[in-house]
Amino acid sequence: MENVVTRLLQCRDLLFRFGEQPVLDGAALDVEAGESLALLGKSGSGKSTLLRIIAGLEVPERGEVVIDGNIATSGARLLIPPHHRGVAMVFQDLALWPNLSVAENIRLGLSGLRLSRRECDERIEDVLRLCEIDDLARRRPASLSGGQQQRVALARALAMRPELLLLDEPLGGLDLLTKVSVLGQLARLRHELGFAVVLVTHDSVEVQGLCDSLAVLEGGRIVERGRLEDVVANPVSELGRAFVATMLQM
Amino acid sequence: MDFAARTTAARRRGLIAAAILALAIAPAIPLLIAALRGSSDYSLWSDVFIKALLASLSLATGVAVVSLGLGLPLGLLAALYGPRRRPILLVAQALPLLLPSFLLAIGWRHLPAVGLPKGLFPPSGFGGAALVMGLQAAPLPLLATWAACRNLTASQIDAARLHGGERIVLTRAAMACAPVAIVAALLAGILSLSDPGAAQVFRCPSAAMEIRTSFAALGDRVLAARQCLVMAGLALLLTAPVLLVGLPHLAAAVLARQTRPVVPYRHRLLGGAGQAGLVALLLVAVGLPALGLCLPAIERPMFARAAKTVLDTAPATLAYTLGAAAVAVSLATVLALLTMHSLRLRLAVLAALMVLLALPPALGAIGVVHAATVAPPWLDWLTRSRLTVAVVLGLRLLPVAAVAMMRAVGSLSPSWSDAASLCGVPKRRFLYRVTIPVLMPTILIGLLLVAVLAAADVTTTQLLYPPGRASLPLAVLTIMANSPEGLVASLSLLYLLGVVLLMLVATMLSAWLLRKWKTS
Ligand SMILES: Nc1ncnc2c1ncn2[C@@H]1O[C@H](COP(=O)(O)OP(=O)(O)OP(=O)(O)O)[C@@H](O)[C@H]1O
Ligand SMILES: [Mg+2]
Repeated sequence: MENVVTRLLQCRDLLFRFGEQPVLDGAALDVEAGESLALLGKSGSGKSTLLRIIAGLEVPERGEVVIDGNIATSGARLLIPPHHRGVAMVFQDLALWPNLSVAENIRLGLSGLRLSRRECDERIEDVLRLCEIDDLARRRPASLSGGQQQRVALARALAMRPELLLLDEPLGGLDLLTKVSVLGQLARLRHELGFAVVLVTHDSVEVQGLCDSLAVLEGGRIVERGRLEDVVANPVSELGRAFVATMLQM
Repeated sequence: MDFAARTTAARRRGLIAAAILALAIAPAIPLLIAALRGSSDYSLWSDVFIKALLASLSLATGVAVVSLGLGLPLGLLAALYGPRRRPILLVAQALPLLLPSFLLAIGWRHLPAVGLPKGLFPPSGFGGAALVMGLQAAPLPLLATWAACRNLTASQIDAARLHGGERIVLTRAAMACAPVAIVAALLAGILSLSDPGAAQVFRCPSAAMEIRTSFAALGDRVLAARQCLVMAGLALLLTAPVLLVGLPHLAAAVLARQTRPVVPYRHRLLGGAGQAGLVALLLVAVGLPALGLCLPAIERPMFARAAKTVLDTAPATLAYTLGAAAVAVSLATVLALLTMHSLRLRLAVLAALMVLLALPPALGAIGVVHAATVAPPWLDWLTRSRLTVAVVLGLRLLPVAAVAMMRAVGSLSPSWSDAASLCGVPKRRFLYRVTIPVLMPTILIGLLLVAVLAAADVTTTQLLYPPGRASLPLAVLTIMANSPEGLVASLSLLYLLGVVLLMLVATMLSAWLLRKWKTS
């Protein structure tokens, strides 16, 4: 039982359907504290759905989500609401609130925590500095570049001081240089703040830049899971082999 | 939230939506009771009424055909080849929909004085009414076609273009948009069933006129109620099959969110033809009657007296229009937010809204008049006041506001609220800080739209207004018969200018709001 303590997240036997079609069927995934995991899977394989279940935004029909030793979701029942899970997420489309400035986006994101105004201000200042966007505080999202918007979404997520950060292909639309710079920043932040990451991606640059382990979702379950070196040395799944092949070519 | 809680929440949303729709139909209930229980000296199926009914039906058909013939091609050209920015000409197309039809008809009647061919002008009788009302209704299928066409993906259109050029593009787009255009044109026809305005001016019999005669001239409320129900039944009968076939198309066109909408293609000939068509339609539908209004107003200007009438009627007009706008838009916003999570609920609500829209406006108004006669005097604030007019008008125009709001809510990204619930932002806070502000441009446009439409309505207002508190268009309608032409024309002209001004202000305001987010 002692390894349960270091397990930050455990998903067991998840079943999730849209209509009749099962998206997840028997999916199980563990993430350790401070780990950085890349989640691979074909388009439509249910990666976003898995992240949403972990965050508590969807409820599976069967299975369990355990966070920090507490049962968060159990068999179609939501026991811990999303904002009490210590989980933050950067969405595929970033989901920045368009009418609010950068600072207001972060402030509204903090409003669930019941902080005092001063604490709020401090956190906003902190996280703006950490993400190197202090000079953008008063701008609206639509007036920012893609890379700047990523940082804002990241800052809003990190201001919550999450233990687990879920990233759903957030770097998709970025050019290589910007991507590398955001990745570097993420890696540094993870080092400083010590949160765990689950990164959904198709991109070996992102995996190498940020992740130390890798999982593959296929046919509704996790078919491969291991440390990055191990998977690279001996990939089991089809997607895993293809991914390693392209990664080694580079 | 687990499964059970989710189902309960969904059911509650459905119930509240149903309650709002029931509220919208509530004013008609006393009428239903009166029609069933009361007695009348006259027979319902009199020759006159049947004749008027048939005339109304053929008029509606004419209006549908004319508006479809104009609206579908022009809507396609505008969406596929129109200017990419500032679709001001397209916005202006809404103008004839926003003006009382009798106003334009007055303009038409004054036209022959200018020396236009006698055979064609003034348009009179059935043909004239169908032409004028069809022209006035054309923007409905036009704008619906435009919306449907914009919802085709850009790549679909590009693929058609690569395969066979503009001819294929046009045929494919026309086939894709035809169902929506037809539904909109039929709706325009059905709406004309209950519009007494133009038919009255062109002296062609119409059922809506008959109802008014029964009510006002004969003083027979029960007869009016029954006639009204017959009209409602007819409207339902006509709407039901249209909706059954066309609803999914209509919903997709009106409510769909589109990530990469069609961008108009630069094509000299077709672009030019589309622009010219839009200009021509506007000139004929609004310009000509406006000219007809201008001439007597210039020859015998009576702007001083007209201004006095405007000022006298201003408080009532404002109370009715602003009140109706507030009622319609607030209910519509609630309705749109309630239906945002469920496609099925959205379809059901849209169907109900279309049915509501198709019902004759006199239905609710006569119902309330009837309720006022039986209600105790201390309820007068509810049944015989300016508030009554505003509320009944607002409920009547709920469908217009609701469609606009549902479209706007459909464009909210669902991940915005996901992000909020992940951060634990209280629901109400999120509503006030993000949802409502993002919807604000549409709320403003919706308020203006309902206000202008409410001002244009004369049926409800005429039946319900408290003594001495007529709205401006109603005042024009009442003095029309026995006042100098110059005064009527001056008044109408002032009204027209007011509406144009309001539309300009609202378009600029909402454009400014949208721009503010993009640049600051
Ligand atoms: N709202 C929905 N209604 C019905 N089916 C849905 C819905 N959302 C997702 N699906 C289906 O569920 C499956 C999994 O979707 P999900 O978004 O989790 O995939 P994904 O792995 O994130 O894909 P991508 O890489 O394209 O983002 C897909 O097959 C999709 O078609
Ligand atoms: Mg996804």
